[in-house]
Amino acid sequence: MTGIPAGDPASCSHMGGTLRRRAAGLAQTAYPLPADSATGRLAGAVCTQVDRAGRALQGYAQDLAEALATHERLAVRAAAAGLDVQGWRVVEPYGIVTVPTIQARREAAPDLQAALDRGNARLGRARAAVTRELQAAHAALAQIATRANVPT
Amino acid sequence: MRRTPASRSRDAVRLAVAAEAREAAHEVFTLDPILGDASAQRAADAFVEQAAMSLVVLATVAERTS
Repeated sequence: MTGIPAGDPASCSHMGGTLRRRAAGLAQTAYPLPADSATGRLAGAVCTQVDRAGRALQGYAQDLAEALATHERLAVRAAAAGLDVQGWRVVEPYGIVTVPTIQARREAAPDLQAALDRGNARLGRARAAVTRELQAAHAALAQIATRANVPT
Repeated sequence: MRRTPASRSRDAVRLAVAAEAREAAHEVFTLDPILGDASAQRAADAFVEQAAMSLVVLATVAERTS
């Protein structure tokens, strides 16, 4: 097996957890402030977006971990059928093989490739979703910071 | 103008928010996730920078209004 899909679920989960923990802590500390005060309003808005990004990253970490596990499981199945997996593609290894081996490979390859395609598509959707959420949270935070009108 | 116990208490909360926001900004800035995709990675890196800055803004506002 070569070309394992890139990404580290643990680091994404760590970031998601940290963002959510920080957002919850800050919201709790700011809770006694009136919601219509400058600090209370700003704290609420910032915590909402930080928590949103954290939630998206935690979801992505889970999707990424599942994709990596699926990839590994399919690579094992491919190896058992005498095939190799490169990235999300099933390939026939080089070398001289017997006719029954060729037949076995050709029977196994389409199903394996279809399963790899599904895994790759799921991961693609998860990546698009986390990117959208992070970009939206970024844009919202930028707007909040601009409205606060504080030089940093 | 004399400050009431309630306003002193709100000042203490705002200072606590400021301290926590600065600490959070520092921690968020150290986060380094590996998303495995160039576009998602750019979004994450940009978010980290913006989130840290927004937390500093929150700290500054909390300190100014206390």
